[in-house]
Amino acid sequence: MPDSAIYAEVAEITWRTLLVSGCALSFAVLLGVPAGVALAVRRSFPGRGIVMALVNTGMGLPPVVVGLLVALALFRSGPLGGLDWMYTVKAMVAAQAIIAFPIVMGLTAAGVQQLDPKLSVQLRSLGVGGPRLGWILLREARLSALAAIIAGFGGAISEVGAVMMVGGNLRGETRVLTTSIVQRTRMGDYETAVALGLVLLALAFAVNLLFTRLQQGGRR
Amino acid sequence: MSAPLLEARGVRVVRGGRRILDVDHFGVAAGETVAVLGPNGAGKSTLVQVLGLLDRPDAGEVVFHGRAVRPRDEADVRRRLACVFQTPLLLDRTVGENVELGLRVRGVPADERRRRVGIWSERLAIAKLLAQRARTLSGGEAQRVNLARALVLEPEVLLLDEPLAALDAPTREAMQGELGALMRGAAVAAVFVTHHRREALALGDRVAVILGGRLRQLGAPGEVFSRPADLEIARFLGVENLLAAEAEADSIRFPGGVALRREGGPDGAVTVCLRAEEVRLFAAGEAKDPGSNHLNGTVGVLTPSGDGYLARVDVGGIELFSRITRAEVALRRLDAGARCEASIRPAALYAVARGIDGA
Repeated sequence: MPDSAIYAEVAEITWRTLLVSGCALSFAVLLGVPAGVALAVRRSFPGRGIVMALVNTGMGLPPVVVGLLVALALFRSGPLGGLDWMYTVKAMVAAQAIIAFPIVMGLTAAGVQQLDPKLSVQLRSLGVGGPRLGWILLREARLSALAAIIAGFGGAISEVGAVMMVGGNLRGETRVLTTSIVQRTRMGDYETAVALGLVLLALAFAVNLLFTRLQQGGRR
Repeated sequence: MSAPLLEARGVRVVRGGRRILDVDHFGVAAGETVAVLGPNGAGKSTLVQVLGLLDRPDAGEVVFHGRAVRPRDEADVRRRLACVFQTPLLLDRTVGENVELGLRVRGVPADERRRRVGIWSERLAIAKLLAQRARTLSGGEAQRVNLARALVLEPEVLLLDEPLAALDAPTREAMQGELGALMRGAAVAAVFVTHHRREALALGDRVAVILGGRLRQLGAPGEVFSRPADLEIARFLGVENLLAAEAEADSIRFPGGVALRREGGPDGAVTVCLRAEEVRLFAAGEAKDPGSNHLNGTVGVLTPSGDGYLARVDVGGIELFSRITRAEVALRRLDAGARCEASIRPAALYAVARGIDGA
């Protein structure tokens, strides 16, 4: 394969990696951050302990198990087979979102819970209530919330088992950096595998640098 | 007292199986400040939380303008109250944003917000800090912002839960005076919780004493401090002289035979509650007031206290504490071991009946 074709493929895989993990993270943040705040603010409701335990378990969910469950759901015979998402980018996004969601939710909840409980009382005394109370508390815990997003992104972009199972590592369609690295390693093409690994590291570093700047900017 | 603006009626709060508040009635009227005094853990803060509709009691009700507050009315009523807590807990934003937070929540237009923030930031001397980040403030400045955040709402009732407790002594003393002036100026009904007797005395139009979750005494500061309802309150209020005696008509007889004239009170076994400032010391033979009781004695230990001394005096076998100034000690030569004369007004000899257990 000529060098230009290889570069084009690497660029395409890199873009897809960013797209899949970015979309997955977006869904995880959109759902996980409000859920985490709600869990932190509502300190006593029936089953709260079970929800906390489930979220904490979810934070350490093995990606390959997520891949298996998503695959079972998306197979033609599965409950969501009608969506026809199997071996598509959509299935990969769903799998990564499921992996990132509990990480984002759990760490957001932990961050908000670390705030002084009296802050919530103080804000209520000023007339703040409902979603606004959650939003203000989230702003106060923004360093922790950004750490939750960084961790969620790390969980999504670094996993390989789930996207391999539901994406299939199809060239030009569902191949991402992690699945490509696994494939190249299996083929004995260590040189390309290492190069792709470096690209993945650079990508992760760039995105995390952006988040870290946002996070530390919030401290000023 | 005019009709109460905000009341707690039959309020009981139980936490962890323990009754932490049990108040039959407590109320604050428009324009008055009620100082709620009690030791740590007495239930003072819980009372504020209940009155501020931040904590629902297990029994009883909160009444605002004569009407019981129903759960669906809580949010509306809460917006007519304001609370100031011990810890400022300012948001990590500018001082200005913190001060106007409650106004924003209430949907007050920007012009009006600016006007009110301007007025109260001037009154609380934080106008120059408005653009500064709140976390860069000193403790005193942060508490001023905390007060401004509440006062800018121009509430009908202001609930202050030990707002000066976290401040250093000089700042606390300075702010105590300012706070009193502010509350009087704003003509707001205020409940001021404190465990400092001096603050309660300085700021309260009435003083409520809470011990063990129960409202034990409520009255004018002078009344509460000089005539505590029972021995436990007297001990908490720091009455220096608590003396067992036998009372009959206008006379109180102490063990050892010393008898003093008094102006009424319970008969039989009593405990005399006598403030140290009511025991005036003179050099022997110098006391002039014919209406007072005079006792000859000897000055014991002089313990520095406030601006003067707390002197222990032995008078006819009774040990009394007297508060005297440094000038009096020097002028009347009341050094330790000196002969002296103690003068006590009959009206100051307040006594409470002693129970079977002596309490």
